[in-house]
Amino acid sequence: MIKIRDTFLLLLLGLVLTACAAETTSEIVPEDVAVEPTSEPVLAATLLPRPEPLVDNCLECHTDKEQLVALATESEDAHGSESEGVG
Amino acid sequence: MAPLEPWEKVFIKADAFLATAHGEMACAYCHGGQQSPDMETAHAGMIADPSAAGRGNACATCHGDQSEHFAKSLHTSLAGYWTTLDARSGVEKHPELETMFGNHCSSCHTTCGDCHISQPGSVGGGFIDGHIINKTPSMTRNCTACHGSRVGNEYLGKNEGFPGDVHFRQGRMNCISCHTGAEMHDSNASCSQCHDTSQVMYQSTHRYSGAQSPSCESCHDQVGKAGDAVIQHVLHAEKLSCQVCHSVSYMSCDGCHVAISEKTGNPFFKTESSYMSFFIGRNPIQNYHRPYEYVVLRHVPVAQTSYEYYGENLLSNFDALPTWTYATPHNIQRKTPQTASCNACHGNPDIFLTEDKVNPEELQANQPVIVPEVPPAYGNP
Repeated sequence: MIKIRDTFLLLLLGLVLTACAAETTSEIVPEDVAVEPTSEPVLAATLLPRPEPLVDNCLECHTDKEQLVALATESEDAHGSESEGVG
Repeated sequence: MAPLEPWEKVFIKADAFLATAHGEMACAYCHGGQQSPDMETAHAGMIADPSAAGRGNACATCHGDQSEHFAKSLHTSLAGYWTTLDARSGVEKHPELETMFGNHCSSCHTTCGDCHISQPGSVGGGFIDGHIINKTPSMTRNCTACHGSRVGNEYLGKNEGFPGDVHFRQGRMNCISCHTGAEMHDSNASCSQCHDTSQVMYQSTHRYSGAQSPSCESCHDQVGKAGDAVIQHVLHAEKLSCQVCHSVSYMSCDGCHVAISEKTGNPFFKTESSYMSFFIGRNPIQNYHRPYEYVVLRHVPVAQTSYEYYGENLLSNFDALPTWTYATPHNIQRKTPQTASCNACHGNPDIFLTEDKVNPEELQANQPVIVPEVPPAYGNP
């Protein structure tokens, strides 16, 4: 008699656990919720300074007075030298 | 201001610049170009002034507010030129005038860099301080580099025989003491955020038609009000602009003509004459903020034939605007010849713009400002 009762209780416990487990699963993953694809943050790529190369050719030249004296030339004056009088 | 040597114009002060926030950014971030030890390759596609119009204004990436307002300011739009060109010409003359404007006027257009990094291009350009980005522009190397021949010379006392402005001589005030960053960036332009701009007092169609910014009264706030010990202030309040009594002779110019050089292909101008004068005239733009009956007038160098190189009779409505214009000379003095006595002004024809002092060809244009009758002298001075 005890064996039959224990067997019945075990079956009942199994049924309850199975029902609870199924209900929990359906709450966690609702079928009608779409999952947004993840995207890379654009802002950081736009605003952060670009990595400097090991040798910065811009700075190497533009901080070297002797090199600039040798290379820099006068740009053409937009108003030319023919203007006369108060501008 | 001595011109910069070619090398100085592009020399970066390494230690000082690299220690600033802007020095932490790679050069190419603002200027483009590419890394190469070869000068031509490195400069290919490089943007010399990343804040110039049409280049996307690199400054706006971080300084969005200032850049947005500045884009609408007179320094950027040069709209003041078009106010007068539109009035003196007709719509059908626009193509020729736009060509003229592009060749001769647009070089005065100002970018962020022209005030905060370099001297303006119109005076040869070049870094002011080794590419350090100055929050406050230099008075002489930025502001008066462009506004030099009239305002700058008057303010600094460079016109022989005439003292500099008292605010400079005694107060050592510079341009931004009165002309704030908000004014230069046109950040004051959003009146409509608080005010009903359909009211005439908030309408601004001319640089002298909106609220005075700056105004003398911003500092001298008791002038002309009850309790002002200077009776002349009370008697003349709202009848005279401050400059009528407190400025001295200033520069006027005549007959500017523009053309393109046959030799070099470069644009150039020639001004027939410039001279010091002081004339009180009628206020051509009386409005809510400038109710004055009398103001001082400066002759602007426009002539009916100023742009004849580009076409015939381009200023066909030449008489639409006076050539003697509302002026605010920057040579303010506490005591002037006008303040010596009542009859230094009253009954003194020498200082009023009467018909006999106007070029006969410009009489019609200047009717709104010519003083028909000099205010009479008082009995015995």
